[in-house]
Amino acid sequence: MTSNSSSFLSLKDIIKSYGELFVLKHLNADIEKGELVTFLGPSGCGKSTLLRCIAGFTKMNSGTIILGGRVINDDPPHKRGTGMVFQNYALFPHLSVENNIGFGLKVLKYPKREIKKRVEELLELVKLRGLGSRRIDQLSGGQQQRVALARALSLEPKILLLDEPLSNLDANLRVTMRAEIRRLQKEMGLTVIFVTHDQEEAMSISDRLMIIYEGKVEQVGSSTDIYDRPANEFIAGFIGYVNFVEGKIQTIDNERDFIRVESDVGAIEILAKGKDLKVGEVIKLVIRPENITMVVSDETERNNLLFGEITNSIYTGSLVKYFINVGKHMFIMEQHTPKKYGILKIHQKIAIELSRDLHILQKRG
Amino acid sequence: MKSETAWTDLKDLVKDPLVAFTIAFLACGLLIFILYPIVSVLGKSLFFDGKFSLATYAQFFSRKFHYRALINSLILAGLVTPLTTFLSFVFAYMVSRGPKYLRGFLGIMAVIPFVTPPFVFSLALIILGGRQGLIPKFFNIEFSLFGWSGVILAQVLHFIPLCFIMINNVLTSLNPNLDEAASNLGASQGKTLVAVTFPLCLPGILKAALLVFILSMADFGNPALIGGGISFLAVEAYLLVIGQYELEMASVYCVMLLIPSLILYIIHKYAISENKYITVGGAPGAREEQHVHPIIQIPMLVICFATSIAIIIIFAVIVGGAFTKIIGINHSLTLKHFSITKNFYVLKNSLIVSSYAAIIGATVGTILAYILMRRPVPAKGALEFTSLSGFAVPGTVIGIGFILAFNKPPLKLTGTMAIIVLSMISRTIAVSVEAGIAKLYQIDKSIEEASHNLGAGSLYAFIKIMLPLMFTAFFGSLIYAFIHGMNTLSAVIFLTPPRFMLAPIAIFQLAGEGRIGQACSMSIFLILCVFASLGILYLVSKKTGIKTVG
Repeated sequence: MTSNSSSFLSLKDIIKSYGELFVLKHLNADIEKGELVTFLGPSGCGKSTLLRCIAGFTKMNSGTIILGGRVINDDPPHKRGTGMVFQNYALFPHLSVENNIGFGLKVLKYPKREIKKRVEELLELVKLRGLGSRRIDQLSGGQQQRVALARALSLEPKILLLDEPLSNLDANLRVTMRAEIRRLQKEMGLTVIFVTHDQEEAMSISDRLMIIYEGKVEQVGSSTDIYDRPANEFIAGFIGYVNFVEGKIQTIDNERDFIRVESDVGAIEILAKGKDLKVGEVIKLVIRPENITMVVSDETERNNLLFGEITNSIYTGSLVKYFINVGKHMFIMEQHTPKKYGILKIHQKIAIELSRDLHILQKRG
Repeated sequence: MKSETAWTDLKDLVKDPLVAFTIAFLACGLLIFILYPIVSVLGKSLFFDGKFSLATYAQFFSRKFHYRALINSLILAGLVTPLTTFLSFVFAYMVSRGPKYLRGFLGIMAVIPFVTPPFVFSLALIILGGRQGLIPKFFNIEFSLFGWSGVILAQVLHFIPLCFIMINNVLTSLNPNLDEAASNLGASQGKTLVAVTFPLCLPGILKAALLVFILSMADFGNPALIGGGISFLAVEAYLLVIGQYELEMASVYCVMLLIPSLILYIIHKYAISENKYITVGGAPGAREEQHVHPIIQIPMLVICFATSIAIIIIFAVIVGGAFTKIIGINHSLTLKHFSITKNFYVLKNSLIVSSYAAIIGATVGTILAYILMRRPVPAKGALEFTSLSGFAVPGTVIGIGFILAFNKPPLKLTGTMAIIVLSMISRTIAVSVEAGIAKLYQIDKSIEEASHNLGAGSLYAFIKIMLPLMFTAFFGSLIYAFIHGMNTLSAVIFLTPPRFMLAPIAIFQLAGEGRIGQACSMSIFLILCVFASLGILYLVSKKTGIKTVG
């Protein structure tokens, strides 16, 4: 993936290793001004390391980082204009909330009155008005998080770097806080890089996602791009639940834009508009829970009819998740109106229909 | 409220007679062997001519001869403490953040003075700067290290290890993200050091400094050897007892030593809490390789190297003194100093006494720690404080206190080996107790509860479950007590009869008599013993897979 030199933050060919272990391998990425991009990936994929390289805490083996038109590789961390929020917040325990937030301004020798004014503004912004004189250990986790955010914003950084900022908060707080961060970002037009391994978090707030795996960017795109059209098996499996069905293309109907695939669950017909496919090619079908529906009437004139047995059901209030065994596959189907049909029992035989709009993964090269 | 819990504690206690008995036994021990001697000293100072009176105190404060000892001791501690603390901080900063290839070397340098008997530095400084010293000889100048310069130098070098370890602990437990956060907000390294790192270390640094102050005031060997006649409290107290048997005035000197020590120790233990600065926020991230800016690093490294060179010279001088006929005069190599049989007996005595003291002390201390932490004990705080005060009380006070307390029936122990062992135990039991308590904080209560749930009684659970888990604390404090026993001088010098000489006393006497070669060779033996015991500690901790040193 090559990078565009006119974007706001440009990462070119970044390589970083710790001894024999390569954590970032020829990583390229571009981030535009004013967008919230999430680096998403499993633990150890290098996303935090990448963030730290941008901030200047970690030295890269090679590569170029261009921020706002300027190469910042050799800039020391305190001269880069990046604002960082650490996973554990790294608030100064010996300073009060307002002295934490005002720290950067004090370093720049702003006059006291002006620092006080800015700190008040920032406290207001993160909804912590009146807590300026508190000590850090008197704050809750969520409050500490907001102080860390305010502190990072105090110097109006070119880019805001958030390193798993919500992972220490409980589930409800996480949801509230991520909405807050998104709101602030949009209001202030900030450019933000958000690092997380929580895919729901990533999907809900990002303009774009960058899936990072084993030191490389696997795919870049919006939430729908990544979810509906994952570039490979790993990405498909990383986001949401997926079931892969491998099959061989039997026929291609160019008039009606569909193809017929022979698989171990039978023949499957799917839409294949505009794809470069050949008869005899082996492909993988990406099947998500929303691609599966229960067949209720006796009409057998259906496409992609499969027969299976329910092995488990999980009732979560607004929906029921059914685990359906079809041959060697375990499909998950989500039934959103449990009251309508009642909750089906285990060992019950069931007929399901696969949508014709399935995403296809081809073998590369 | 307090008496209520004490009463319920007592009731719970009675249900478990074994524990109750143990506590009573230990409490008696603490009372008799720590509290009673101290009270005896206090009492003696308040008597004159057999009657209660403050006359001795009046005499102390009215005659310059007496009160200048107090002033000098305070000045000495006042000079040594900031110097030691500063040097220790520099070492600790370099060891935790300096160039990687130097960290091991500097760490060893900072800690190695710990293995020597405390007054060995004075011995070396005498060789270098005494009347027949190497420096005046080789550089042909008027130079003497006797007096203030010698004592300060010797004390600073000797106290660096303890101070370094404490400050290093604090520095390495700081969240590394804090430095990064500061630099992310625009602070240069210097600014970060001043505005973030140092303030956060301050409680830990203060604790270390207070300890150095106490130890400096209590020091006997260094002022005695190289003080050049300047009066210091511990030395003058010794002379008063040994030379003139003026126990009343000596007791007043002891009280003068005791009061600052206890006050500072209380502040050190109860008034400074460093925890709140360390545990705020989530778990810290891993420390990335840090590069300290040359403007900070170079002066720091210069200081470290200068100090290291001083330490190396000291050791070299001791080795030289041991292996040359008469260092400074006759430099032909010899092993004569090592073959004096009398000295072997002395070493054997020290080994025996230290081993007893170490084993008994560590065992009792660990049991006491367990009981204090896990069992209902009335007056827990008082018991803990008593056991810890043995550490804070200067050795001179313990020595004189033991003489006063145990020179008559029913506990006439003076002149026996027992009194020596007991004095050592009372001074080092605090370490076992503190180590045990610290370890128990890490061991969850539910482990022992599980053992009870499975049917184990108190004793069984303690021996089979708690002791093995507490082993590292036990063994580490045992080695510490052993090293202390081998090297200690200030208390035992009052308690040893001539036929049962101990190594540090022998060295002290030999140095005083000018037999430098023998003094040095004995010192080397002591150092080797300490190394051997530390080696054992290292091997044991490797085998049990747990870290005990540090």
